[in-house]
Amino acid sequence: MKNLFILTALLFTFIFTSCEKTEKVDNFPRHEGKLVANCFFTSDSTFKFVLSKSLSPIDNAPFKQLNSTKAFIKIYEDNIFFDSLVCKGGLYPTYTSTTNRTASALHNYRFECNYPGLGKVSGEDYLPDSSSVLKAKGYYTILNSYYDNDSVINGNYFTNLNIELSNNNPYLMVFIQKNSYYQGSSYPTGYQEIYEDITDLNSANETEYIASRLYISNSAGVKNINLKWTTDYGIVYKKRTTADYNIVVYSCSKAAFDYLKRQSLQWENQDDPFSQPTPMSNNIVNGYGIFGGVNVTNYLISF
Amino acid sequence: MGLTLHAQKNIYGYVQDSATGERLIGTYVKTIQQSASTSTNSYGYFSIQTTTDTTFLYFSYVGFADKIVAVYPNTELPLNITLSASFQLKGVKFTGRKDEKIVNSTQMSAITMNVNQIKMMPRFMGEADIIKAIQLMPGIKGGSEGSTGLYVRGGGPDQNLILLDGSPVYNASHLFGFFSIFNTDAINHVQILKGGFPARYGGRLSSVLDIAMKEGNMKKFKAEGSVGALASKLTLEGPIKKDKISYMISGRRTYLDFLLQPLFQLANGNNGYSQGYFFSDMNAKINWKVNKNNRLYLSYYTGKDKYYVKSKPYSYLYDGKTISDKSEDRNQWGNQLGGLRWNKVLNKNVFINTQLNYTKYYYEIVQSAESSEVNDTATLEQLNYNGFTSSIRDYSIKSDVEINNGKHYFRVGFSAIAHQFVPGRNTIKYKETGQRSIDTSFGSDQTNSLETSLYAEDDYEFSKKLKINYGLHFNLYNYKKSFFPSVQPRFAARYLLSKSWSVKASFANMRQNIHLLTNNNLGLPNDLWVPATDKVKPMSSNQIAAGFAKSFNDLYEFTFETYYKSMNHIIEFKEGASFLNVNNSWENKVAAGKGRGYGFEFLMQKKSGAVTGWIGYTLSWIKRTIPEVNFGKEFYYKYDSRHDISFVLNYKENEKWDYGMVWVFRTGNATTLATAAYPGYSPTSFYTTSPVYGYNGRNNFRFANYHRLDLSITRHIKKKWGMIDINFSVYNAYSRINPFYYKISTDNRGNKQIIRVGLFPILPSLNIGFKI
Repeated sequence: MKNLFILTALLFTFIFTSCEKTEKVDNFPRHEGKLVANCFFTSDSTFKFVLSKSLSPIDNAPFKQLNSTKAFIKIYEDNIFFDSLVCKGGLYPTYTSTTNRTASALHNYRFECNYPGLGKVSGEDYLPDSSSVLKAKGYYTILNSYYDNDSVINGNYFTNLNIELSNNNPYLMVFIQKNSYYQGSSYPTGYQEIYEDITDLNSANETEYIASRLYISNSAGVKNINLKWTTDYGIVYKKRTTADYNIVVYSCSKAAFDYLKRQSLQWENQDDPFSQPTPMSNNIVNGYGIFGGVNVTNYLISF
Repeated sequence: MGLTLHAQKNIYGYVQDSATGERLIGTYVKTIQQSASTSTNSYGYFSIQTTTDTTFLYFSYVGFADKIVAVYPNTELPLNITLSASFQLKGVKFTGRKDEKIVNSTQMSAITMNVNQIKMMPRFMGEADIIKAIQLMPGIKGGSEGSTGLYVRGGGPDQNLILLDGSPVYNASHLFGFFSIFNTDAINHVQILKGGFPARYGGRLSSVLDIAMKEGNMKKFKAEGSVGALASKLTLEGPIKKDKISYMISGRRTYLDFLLQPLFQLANGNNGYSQGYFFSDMNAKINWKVNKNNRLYLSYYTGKDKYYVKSKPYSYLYDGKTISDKSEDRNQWGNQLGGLRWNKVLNKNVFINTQLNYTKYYYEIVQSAESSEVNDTATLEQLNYNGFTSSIRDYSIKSDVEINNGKHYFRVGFSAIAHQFVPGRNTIKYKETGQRSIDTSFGSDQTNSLETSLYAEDDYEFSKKLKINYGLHFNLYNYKKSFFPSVQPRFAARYLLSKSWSVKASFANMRQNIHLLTNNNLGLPNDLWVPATDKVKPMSSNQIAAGFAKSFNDLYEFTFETYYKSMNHIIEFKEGASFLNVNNSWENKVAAGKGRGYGFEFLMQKKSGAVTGWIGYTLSWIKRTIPEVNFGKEFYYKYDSRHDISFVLNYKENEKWDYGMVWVFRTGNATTLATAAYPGYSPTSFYTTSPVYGYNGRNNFRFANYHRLDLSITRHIKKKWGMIDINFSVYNAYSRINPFYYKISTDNRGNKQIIRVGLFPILPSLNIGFKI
């Protein structure tokens, strides 16, 4: 449907577009490369950083993960030294903990990084409490059912999943993974994200569904969050196969929430010429990237 | 001449074109002895007070010879004044308005345009366009290259009340905004108000564009038409009963689809598919002079744009079965308007206009396919239909009363508008013989809202030098169970410094109860009109303006104005939102905030003589603050343009030749460009992923400056049966590549480069018109 509209618009643009001129790149905003520091910290694992250098949007060069052993990263918990990170080489070099200490919920963390040639960057964030799945109930409904020649019911089905979350933190991201089985076999397909809407039953919450993920910024102060997922539309042929579902809940700091949401928007809209621009949020001083606290909860259910 | 002072009395009547009987809107009327003055209203009606037994009235209208009429105590009222078009006089004598109306009137920020003047200007692809001419006036911007958008004093494209014979127009563009829906052959008069709105106007924040259709020739049959590069049109008008009932009907259609069809076939072969695009419109009006005090007008407009791809019905034999297929995809949009107006002169002091109006704008995309399979025993049919529609529909009633009481000219009135919105609905139909069928709609349901308004205003001549216009506009907006009342004060004052100089000031508080969801990048027909709701509140604005007006040697008019406008609850799409995403409710896709616009406007006009035209200059700033956009920081609006210059020149050498020239310059529009690219990241990965882009602010970059020169030459050839006009226009004469957008591409060496893409290089066009 939307392709028809885009085609129409492009047709007319094409008809009337007959003049182009190459602009001097100098006329555009200049870019000086800065250090990009990316780290999501959780209570389940140690601090890990990926460092790279930003480029101009019209730069041809690919991104490279930086691996200087002369760079150092120091972590502070509530302004007290907590850990120092060193480069672990390999194909995708990361800067990892030297102490194996993990972050604790409801504490503030700060990092400082000095990278040769790119200067010093820093960032600060907190680790929110995790949000747990209190209840989850799954069932499916068959619509437009009919009996086939073998007198077996066939039809379209919808999977329904009612989820109740505890709300310890106002910034949540929820998505659902499905691990179904190939028809008539016991081989799982592996957990894959489901691409249909999840609805927040409390309309007072601010929610946005982007690229198969539901972002909830709960300004209403509701204690529990009830979600409804009516999805996974399919055709029942003879018999619907049972599937395993994993409900993934990210309990995010505001900085992490903004970063993830805006990143999803940018990726989702990269092929949509009619979408509004989405600037990335950035909590790295003198650089780019994210230093954000996220606690992840997984909840498995089969039906 | 009896010039004895007497009790005050009113002289009233109508002013019309002697050749056609068409009412002349905005004619300047003055009593010579006392210098009291007024102008005819939207129906050509005037009412003026005098204290002498015999009064000499002076009438003046652009392009018409001035006239002085003596009114004696026994002269029958209402008067029916006829003026003759000045260019028809022999000896190529060009006369025009010689008045100080602009100096005298309390109304500021108003621009009146003569349709003949618009027709003399260079044309875009052979079509004279009212909106494109208005865009050349100070304080009004046109948005993107070639578009017919209106951005008035910092306002958005939704903040303009566009009226065609009193019916609101919700989308005034054809061909994705390159042409307006207004066919100049069917139009009589155009006026736009940018500020200083009197209390009688309401419903929009930024401007009122009042367009009156021709009423139809009361004297004799006339035909007018043209063949242009893009479209042809034909207008017929004449009396149904001479001097009693007249009609006007005008049609226009493009023929791009016919012209491009062979090219499509050449490219694709004769594969049974046809595709094309056209727009068409039709204006019609009936004007009935019931008696000297009553008049009825019935107006109608319909127009649409359509793009289609369709296959011819195709049948073939397969496996002993006859299989038939056909399909059609279409994308179409259009307006339908209708209005019935009743003018009544109740008595010497009171004029009443009552009107009923209907307007509809719709947009739809449809994909449908049908197939059938016929064998010896049965016929199997299958239908697939997938459609998206959005629409807005208004039903309204309105009544205005004008009371002339000497120093006071009162206007009171009321209106009620019922809006019906369908912001976006998807329909899916599936039908197959022997199977269950699906016929379902989802998306936004129809919603209704109601607006009622009352107003009262007074144009009060406080002293010979000071005249004020003050009033209140009361509006009550109802949506579902919510009510939004507003009282909107209006004030304007004029102080005469001399006969040819005046200073003016105005204040207007405005309220708007509907919003337009418009994409910031393009002016497209699928922009959605939606009602204000509890979540997305009605918009409001306050505008103050001050300036002075001067007329020089009865030939030139000069105005200078400065203004400041603040706006509340204006909406923008949220960051990342896309109107293509119909799954998300429109209320969730927009964010509300504040806006402001301020600046200075300068206009020097020459409306009479062989050479006419204007020079306009605007220095302005337009800003927005939306909490959910640009991290809540104030940013420049996309159409913020610091300098805007227009120079329009028309020269009528003689009865055979006209020349036109337009030159425009404006600072480039603002746009948002990424300033950095870096790897994205997610909590589950420890390596670089797809890039994300950093911006140092919304609308952080300026397009290259826009400038363009248009030229035209028109030859008028007089024939026994009428007149032929041959117009040759050149749009963008020096082929400036004005940026429509920028794109990043890769050159032969693999280096990325930035390309400025313009829409129109030099575009010559020829238009041949005739008049019978």
